[in-house]
Amino acid sequence: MKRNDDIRNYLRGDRRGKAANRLEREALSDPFLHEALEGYDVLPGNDAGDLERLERMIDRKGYRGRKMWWGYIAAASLLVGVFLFLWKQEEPGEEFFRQEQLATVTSLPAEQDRQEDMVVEDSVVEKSGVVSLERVKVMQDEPVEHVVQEEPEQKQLSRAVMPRMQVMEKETRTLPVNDSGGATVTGWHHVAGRVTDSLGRPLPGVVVRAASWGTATDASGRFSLRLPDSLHSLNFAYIGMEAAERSFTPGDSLRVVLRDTDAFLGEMVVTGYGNSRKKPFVGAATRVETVREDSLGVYLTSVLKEKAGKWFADGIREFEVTFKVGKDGRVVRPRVLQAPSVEVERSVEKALLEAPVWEERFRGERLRGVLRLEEKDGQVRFSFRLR
Amino acid sequence: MPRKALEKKTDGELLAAYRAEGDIVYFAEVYKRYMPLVFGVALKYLKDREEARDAVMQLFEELADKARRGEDVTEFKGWLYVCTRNFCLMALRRKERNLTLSLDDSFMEFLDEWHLEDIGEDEEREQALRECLGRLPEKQRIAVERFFLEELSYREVEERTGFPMKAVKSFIQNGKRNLKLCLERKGIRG
Repeated sequence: MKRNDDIRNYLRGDRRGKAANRLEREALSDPFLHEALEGYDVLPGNDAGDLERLERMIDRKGYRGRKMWWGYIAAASLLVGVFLFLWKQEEPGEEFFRQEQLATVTSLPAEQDRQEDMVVEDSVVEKSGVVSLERVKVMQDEPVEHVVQEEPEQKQLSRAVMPRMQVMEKETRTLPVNDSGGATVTGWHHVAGRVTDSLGRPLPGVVVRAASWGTATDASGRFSLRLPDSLHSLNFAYIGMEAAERSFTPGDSLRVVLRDTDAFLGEMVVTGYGNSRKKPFVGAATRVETVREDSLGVYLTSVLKEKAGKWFADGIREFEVTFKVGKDGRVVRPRVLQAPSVEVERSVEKALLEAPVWEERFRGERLRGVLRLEEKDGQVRFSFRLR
Repeated sequence: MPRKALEKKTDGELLAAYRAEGDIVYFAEVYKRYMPLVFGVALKYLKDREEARDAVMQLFEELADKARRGEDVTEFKGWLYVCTRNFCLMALRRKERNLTLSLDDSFMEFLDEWHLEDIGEDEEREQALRECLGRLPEKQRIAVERFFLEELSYREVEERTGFPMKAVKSFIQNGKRNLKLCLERKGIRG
């Protein structure tokens, strides 16, 4: 819708020009729009990015039902396929199956340790009866001892729960049977690669997908996938990381780096109900620690220990902050200026808000200073200097 | 379902289709049209990006339910606005018992149908408008002229005049109101 795009352009762009004026003018007589624009002004951040993400989430909800429906159809045709396969197999008897296994081994020697998802297309399954019969003719000339000898190796191959299904799938992929292998698939190509986080550590279990083909990375973050020629891009998804999409040319070895998402889990609030009795207080109260210029760094280091290390590794060395110290010594309205990332901005502002009270002499003042990240004895520390 | 076909439908058609067939795709389409507004309003009230995002998703589910159950939604946008605000206010109320809302700058006359740009049509109006503009306090006049006649955005007005953004907005609003009063006194209605 036009309105939708207008707002998006407004948020993404520099809010200048006639289009911006038109929207702002419209907001004068549209309270909904007016309040929305106010909202975008109140909080700095990646509005356009957030909107895109939300839209994707809603799309996912919208189209999930549809996919399940297709799922049922696929499951039904799979069942029919399995039935046909088993039925055909009864006729040639035990020896047939052995020969078929041999066919797989000889035609696909390099297939063994490839990590592949098992994908069975309906059309493939339905045709399989025909395909296997053709093969029986070819293989009958082979000596039978050979077949038996190859058998253990074949066992290794079938690692899926349904070994027969897998055998079937692999054959149809490689055999030059004209009308099998699904309507659109004409050839296959390989892609492999490695997925790491921003520090170069391998990410195991990352879901790698292209259309309905996919796999997951192994313990060292590696994956390898065989795809129909028509697919040229891969999606990478991992919890806590931004999803990524990469295109490739056949035979490529990809190096994929996933970035952390800036979506955190919300805070949990614990509320207590019930009575508490006042107890007499005996002893000395500890003095409440106050913050000074030089102790702020120590405080931030203690609360943001883990994050600081990561930021430092990302090349973040220093940034400016400003905030007001209220009459009670608490920080008011902290801001990270030109924040290097949303995460830095959010974490530091939160930490400042929660900092212990500031010393008497700073109260009621607006402070501005530089926060610096330094590595000392293998630990990343903050230091703070007033401007 | 081809998306293009969905995009062409009006809000009302989509809602009717949703009620009839119960397919969430219809509701998703109409909701997405106004999602930037919902998100903006949620940001304004909740003042927290994450909570605002959650609100957008929760509202989607809640309203999908309500719209399905045939709650009478004749004007979707207005309905959505009311629901969004109520949702945010409820969320705030859960956080703070004594909630006070400031009405300062969101309290304005939205419902007037009066537009400055229509005025340049005949000479009498043009004349009256010039006079009234001249009577405005200087800052208001400058802001109004830049915004309505030169069609500059808030940010551009801010840059040209050096007034802070907040001041620009209030000059424009107050200037517009004063202009309207002045024109009405002269017997001219927009």
